[in-house]
Amino acid sequence: MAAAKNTEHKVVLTLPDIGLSKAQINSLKKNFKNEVVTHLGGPEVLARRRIVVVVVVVIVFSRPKA
Amino acid sequence: MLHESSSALGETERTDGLPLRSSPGGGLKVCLVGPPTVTDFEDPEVAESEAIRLIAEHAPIGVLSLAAVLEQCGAAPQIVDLNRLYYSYLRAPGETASKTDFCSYVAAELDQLAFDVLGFSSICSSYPLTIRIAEQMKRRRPGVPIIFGGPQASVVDVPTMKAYPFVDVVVRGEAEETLPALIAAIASGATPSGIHGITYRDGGRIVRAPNAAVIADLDAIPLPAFHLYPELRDCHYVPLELGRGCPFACSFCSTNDFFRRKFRLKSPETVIAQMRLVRDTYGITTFDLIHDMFTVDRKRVMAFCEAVIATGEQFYWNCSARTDCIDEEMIATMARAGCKAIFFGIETGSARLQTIVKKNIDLAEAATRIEATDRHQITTAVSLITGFPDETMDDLRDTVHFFVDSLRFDFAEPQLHILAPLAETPLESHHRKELVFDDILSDMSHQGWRQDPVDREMIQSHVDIFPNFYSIPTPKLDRAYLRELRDFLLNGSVRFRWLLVALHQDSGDVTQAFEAFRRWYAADPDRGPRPDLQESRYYASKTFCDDFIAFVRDDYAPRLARTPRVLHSILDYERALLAETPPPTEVTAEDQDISDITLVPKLTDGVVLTECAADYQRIIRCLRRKGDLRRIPRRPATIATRQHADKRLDVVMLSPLSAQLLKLCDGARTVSDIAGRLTPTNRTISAIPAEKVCMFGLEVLRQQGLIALHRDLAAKAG
Repeated sequence: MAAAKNTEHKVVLTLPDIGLSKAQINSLKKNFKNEVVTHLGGPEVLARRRIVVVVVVVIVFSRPKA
Repeated sequence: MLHESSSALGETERTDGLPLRSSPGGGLKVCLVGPPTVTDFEDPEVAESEAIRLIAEHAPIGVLSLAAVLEQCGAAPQIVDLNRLYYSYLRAPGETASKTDFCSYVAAELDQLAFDVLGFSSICSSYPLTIRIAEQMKRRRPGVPIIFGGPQASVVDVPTMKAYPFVDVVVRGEAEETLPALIAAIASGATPSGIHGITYRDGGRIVRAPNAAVIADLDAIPLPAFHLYPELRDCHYVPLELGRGCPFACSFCSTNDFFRRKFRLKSPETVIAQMRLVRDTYGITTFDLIHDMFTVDRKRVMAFCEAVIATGEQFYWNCSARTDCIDEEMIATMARAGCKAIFFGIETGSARLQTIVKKNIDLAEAATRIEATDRHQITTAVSLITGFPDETMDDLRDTVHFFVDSLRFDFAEPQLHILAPLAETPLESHHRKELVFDDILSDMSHQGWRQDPVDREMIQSHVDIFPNFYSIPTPKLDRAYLRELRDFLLNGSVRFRWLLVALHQDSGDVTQAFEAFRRWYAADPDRGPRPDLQESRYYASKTFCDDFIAFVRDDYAPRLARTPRVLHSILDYERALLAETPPPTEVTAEDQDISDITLVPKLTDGVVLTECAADYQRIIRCLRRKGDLRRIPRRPATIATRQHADKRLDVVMLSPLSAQLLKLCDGARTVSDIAGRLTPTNRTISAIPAEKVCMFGLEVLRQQGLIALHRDLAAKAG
């Protein structure tokens, strides 16, 4: 019997520097926090196995293209 | 006294019908055949499914254990695994209909092997097939003694030998001492009459020797002869024996007949040494630790777990337990020692029946244990049985409620079986004269959706040998109803677990929803089971899913539900999961920069958006704690489903702002256009320039694979 998983994954989001403050980034992170549920092979067991994706933003400094 | 005469084949024959080899002593070639389980599924698609293969493609531990003992005694054993042979048969070229039958296929395969003695292990569900194979082999090799053993032959030894003269000897119960003694007798031409634990022929008589003593020192049994089973390297896990014997006396269970009631455990040192050996030799670290009732002796279970923990090595294992022989501390320790799955035989959700069938477990305590194993992330089989002769509709409802309540735990996997009157159990003995052959078989005795016609004939002729294929009448329950309810619950719980829980919570009794569903489909010949899609196949099909979702949406929710909005939200979610979304074909340009506001974001191929009327996660939390579903507020939510090329399915519960943004990604608008239309309701977000909000959100969605960015608006628009 395969063991179920209920795991928290961290995803690194790389963004160009578009001039956001730390407070703005935190606010945007909260507002765009989507929960992703993944299951291999179909929907059968999906409803009871959650993988929460926590979005962690890492700013990559680059000049925005206008 | 034996009378021998030389045969033309250089063998000796005895007047008692047990052929003898003239070669003395060790070196006797013994072929041991493991019982088939996978032939329960005659449909190749089912047999090839991952779930069935996971069960079928494991080492036949019983015959491997005996092979190890025989090797120690100087015999030369070989192993034939009928599950593996069945897969070879299925995968052989040619249409199934044009192939020879499996029984003849096995006989032809066995006939290619060299052996002096042929032994068959047996289980109840495939016993007719085992007997038919043995018959063919006796015809092909009349001089080779045929020995039966295993749980089924052990209890129906005399009727088997009366009905089937090609069975020479039955070894009853634990065979590690009996079988070597018998093989030695065959090798030397001695009479087997002094050997305990066998049933044999003496002239025209069938003689049942006294039972053999149980094997007191299980540590003395060597590691199963895994080296005779090269397929082991392909296995996901390896079965290892932890111990034998169950001190309880449940009226439906056959364990006591085979392993007796004396509880025995191997020492932790032996089991750990065997796990290490398997890991080091075959690279496998997951074990099915076999004992019908491992946790009876708390002190020794804890000692085993502590010993495993003390090794500092990582092993994973499964086991069986009673919910009244385990506690929170044990569960925690077992989890730390690598326990990943546990089997709880609850049997019935009715307290009344618990007493009648002599299981006697406290159901409230059982629920607490299931909650604890779930908390420790131990996958828990919650095994329930229906079809007891004394069972009433109230008892059945209690069992169904226990089943559905278990579904609230992520790691619980409830099972519902129809009672099989196993040979020589107290229940079967008591009702022997009442048994009926009504084709409503227990899954324990199921040979697929159709019973093989040859098997049927054997079964109908010999109730005393094959009682497990019969039924004990249930005067207060319709057995056809039981079978359909079982199909409904098992398939429903796999396909829409939370919808089933929600219906149960909404109605207070999921059997009411089931009965309403039956009335609903009965009104339309295009719904429900039908001649070309009969009951079990129907419930296993997508047609059932579509029908049931239509029933809940069009009939149950508007007409009967107390919380229709909640049911609709779950339906929306379940439909999103069941929807067949196209696999992605689009290749996203990885070098696109979201800060380029002229780019055109568009939903990735294979992504589908679904609107729900309420927060699904909140509904699930409410169902888990049996909360009041009427308190779930209306709160629209959007779900994105995404099918991967490898059939993996992602479901993304979108935040409101993500949903708003995603709906604007129609492939016709640029980033700049979308920014102009985005209307964040959150005040802190409103303070951020819309273009930046848009860029940030789109990048999140892009990195989550929900959108792709395109440069050419004209090509992608519309």
